[in-house]
Amino acid sequence: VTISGEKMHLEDASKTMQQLGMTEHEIRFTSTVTIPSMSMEVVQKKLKRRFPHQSVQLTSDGSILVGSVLVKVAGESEESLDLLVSWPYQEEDLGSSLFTILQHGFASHTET
Amino acid sequence: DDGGVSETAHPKQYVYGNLEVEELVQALAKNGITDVKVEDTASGHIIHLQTEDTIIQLEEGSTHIFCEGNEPLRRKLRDTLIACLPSF
Repeated sequence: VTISGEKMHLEDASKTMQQLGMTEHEIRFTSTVTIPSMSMEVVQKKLKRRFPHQSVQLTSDGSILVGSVLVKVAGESEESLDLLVSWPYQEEDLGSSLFTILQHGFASHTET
Repeated sequence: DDGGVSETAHPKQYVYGNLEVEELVQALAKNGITDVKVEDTASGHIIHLQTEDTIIQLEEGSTHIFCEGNEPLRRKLRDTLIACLPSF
């Protein structure tokens, strides 16, 4: 919130920081998770079900974007799929819960 | 029905500015993370947590934390880093 004279404005925090000469410090996390082998279309479908209020897109290079959280294939074998999950601190809640779902939800079936 | 997961769109804190690599190393040590190796790079520093296969890439205006799926460690690193940066 900025106040000029008698007026009060609600502004984007990033924009206000720029105006005050403060540089935002960008924090990004990248973590790896292994899930059972499946196509990225199936991963997309499962994520869509878990995150019905987010845009869940399959990109042209075969990665998935959930909001601004990136899910990318890092390696695959017959049984498993290694994924890189990367998100900015601004998307911490989404990134962290998405990562945990991949780790616990999908990955829990690999032990059979 | 698993009902989906709700998230908030904004972080609880906004962080800005920069931090010294020594400051972060000291803060990590205070939180019990002492097995670190610091490397200088062309654009900043890399802190390597040797036993955890985890890397913190420190550059001007940005920090990137690479974890091998260790979520409790990632959260600890996140909180340590946030505490070292000016925020509102």
